[in-house]
Amino acid sequence: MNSSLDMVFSGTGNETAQQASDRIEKDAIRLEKILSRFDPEAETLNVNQSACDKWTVVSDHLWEILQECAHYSSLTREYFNIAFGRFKHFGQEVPLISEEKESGTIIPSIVFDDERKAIRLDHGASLDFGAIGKGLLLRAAQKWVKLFEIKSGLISFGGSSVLARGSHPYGSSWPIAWRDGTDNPTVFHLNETCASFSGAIQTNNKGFQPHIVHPKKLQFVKNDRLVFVQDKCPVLAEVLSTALVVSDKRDFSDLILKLKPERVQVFKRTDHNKLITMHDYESKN
Amino acid sequence: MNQKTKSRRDFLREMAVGSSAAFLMATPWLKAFADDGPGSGAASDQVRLAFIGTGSRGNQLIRSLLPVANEQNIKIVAICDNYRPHLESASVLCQNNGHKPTLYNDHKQLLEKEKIDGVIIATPLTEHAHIAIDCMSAGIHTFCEKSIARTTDDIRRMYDTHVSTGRILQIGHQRLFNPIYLDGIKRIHEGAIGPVQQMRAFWHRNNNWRRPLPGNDPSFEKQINWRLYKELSVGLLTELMTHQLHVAIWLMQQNPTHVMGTGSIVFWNDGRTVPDNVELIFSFPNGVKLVYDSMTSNKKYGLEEQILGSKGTIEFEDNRQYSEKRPPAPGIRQLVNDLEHGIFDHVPIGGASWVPETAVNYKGEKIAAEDFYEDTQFELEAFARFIRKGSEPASLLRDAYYASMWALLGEEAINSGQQIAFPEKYLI
Repeated sequence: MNSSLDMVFSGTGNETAQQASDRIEKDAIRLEKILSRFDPEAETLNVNQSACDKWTVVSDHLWEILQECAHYSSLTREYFNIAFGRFKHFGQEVPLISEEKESGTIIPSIVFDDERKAIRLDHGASLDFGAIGKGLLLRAAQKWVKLFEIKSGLISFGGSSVLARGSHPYGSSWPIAWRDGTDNPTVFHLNETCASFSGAIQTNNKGFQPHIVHPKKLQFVKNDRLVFVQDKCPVLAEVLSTALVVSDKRDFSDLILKLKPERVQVFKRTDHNKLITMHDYESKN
Repeated sequence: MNQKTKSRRDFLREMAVGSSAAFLMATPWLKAFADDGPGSGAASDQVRLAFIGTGSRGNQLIRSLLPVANEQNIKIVAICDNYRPHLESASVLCQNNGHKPTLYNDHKQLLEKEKIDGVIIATPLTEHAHIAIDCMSAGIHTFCEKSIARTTDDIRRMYDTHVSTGRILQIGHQRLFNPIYLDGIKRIHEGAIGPVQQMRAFWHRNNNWRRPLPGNDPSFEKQINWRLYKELSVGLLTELMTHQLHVAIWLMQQNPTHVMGTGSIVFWNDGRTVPDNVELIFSFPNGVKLVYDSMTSNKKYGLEEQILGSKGTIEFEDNRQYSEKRPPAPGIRQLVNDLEHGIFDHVPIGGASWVPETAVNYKGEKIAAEDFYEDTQFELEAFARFIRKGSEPASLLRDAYYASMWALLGEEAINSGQQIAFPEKYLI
């Protein structure tokens, strides 16, 4: 997934920490072999090649992940999408959406054959798990830190997906700061939860490089939004943070209502990389 | 004494004293720096040197030596060049720095009249052999600029004269005395980048490589621009590549078995006969290759020796070592430091997700503290130390010998279009 995975465990023995990190690393490799678009041995790369306009049976692991992605896609009004289009089931008629009517172009779709656990990629669809892969790994990592009874720890995947186990040993939370080059960065306090940051990345030239594609318009999203989502489920956090970068502002409340995260903050980023709050939600639970 | 030079020499001394036996066996010339140098300034301990060839490189060598000559008890007693302006310029340089060398335009007269311990030869390539042989035969320790000679027979004759006379023959490959290379090679030998998988080296410049002719007189063309003509030089291979090839042989602790290559004049169609664009592959016994290229019509990539191991990469000219496994993000390192010191502070890790630039932004780590060292100064200092000792480490000349031989075999590979192996008759 071309991101660095950093794990810091505190208050646990070296051997236990090593065993836990080994298991997490193995899961990272296992997921990479399923989800990578670049590794010639990975299932996704091969499916992207073989399923173009024809049926390809996929593994149980990949099938489960695809079903989860389809579920999140429907919850997020298709703003979250791993195939730049829509999900369909074999034999299902799906009406055209407004973007298709306006452009006259059929957007890509991934079609499921539930009986055979096979998929077909139509109209140029291809699988890209970039918007959920880190969340899937953090979910696996959550399982291991619980199993090994690690009470305090921080796992960061690429600096944008974070699992906070317990709290910082010298404080009541893990204070994660968003790097903005100042002495007063915005700090997010995490305790026994997960977080996902999404948005355009600042380049060395001090501009922002878009890297998230709008699944309906099939264009890079070029807004100045930074989204922070916090939830116990790292997959939900990642899905929602991506969806909120892409979505229309008017849809924020609807998306949050459907997914019910612990906390959401949507920021507008200024030229000086300062964060101005556009939307702030905190669960009352 | 220049404080910077002292600290760099301290570094060499520390390496000489503190390195493993295995590394010192691969780099025995380092032991020359195990002490501070001449214990006294006594005349009896003085190393008397002469320079033969005081053109561009000879002048640079004199400039490199002068700052340490007094402290190392070295005296420049004679200089020789058959081109008067070069001779006079070198004379002024020496005199301005406290040396009063006698001037000669014929090296045989210099050898006849001067009482010297060592000579430094920086003449055109085709002059190396007969001058060096004359010097060693006269009992004088000899430092000769690279490459050793224009023909394989001459290289062999020079080596044989060194053996028969017992005189030092040191070749001007200054990288072997450069702290960056020394530290880098040590790291590689100690496994820091894993087994070497491939070596890549290149030297790119963008100029016509010409020197101005006195009075624009074309009769001086081959005397001044000898590097451009096949009968006098092998151009990029002898003048540039031998440096990098010697590093590869030192690193691998073995010689190539074959070379193949190509070369042509692509840009500078100005009457020269050596290629301005060469590409070669040297094969080593364990399958590792040195992939080499050099050109004089584009300088974007400059020069570099890249050593690619299974666990990392070293780039000497850039003074960098890279790990295949990237170090943790700076924020995480800060967190670990905080935890170790009982500090509660924010963790600056919120930032980029997967970005294409991330790999490019990893700048590796420095090998040596500074990016530039006066390695030519160190190699000349080493020459003086070897003279006092009466000998040099055998591998220093041996590896230089093979580097020069392989440069000429590279020429043969280019000319023939064949893969060339090392001729048995030249094995030493």
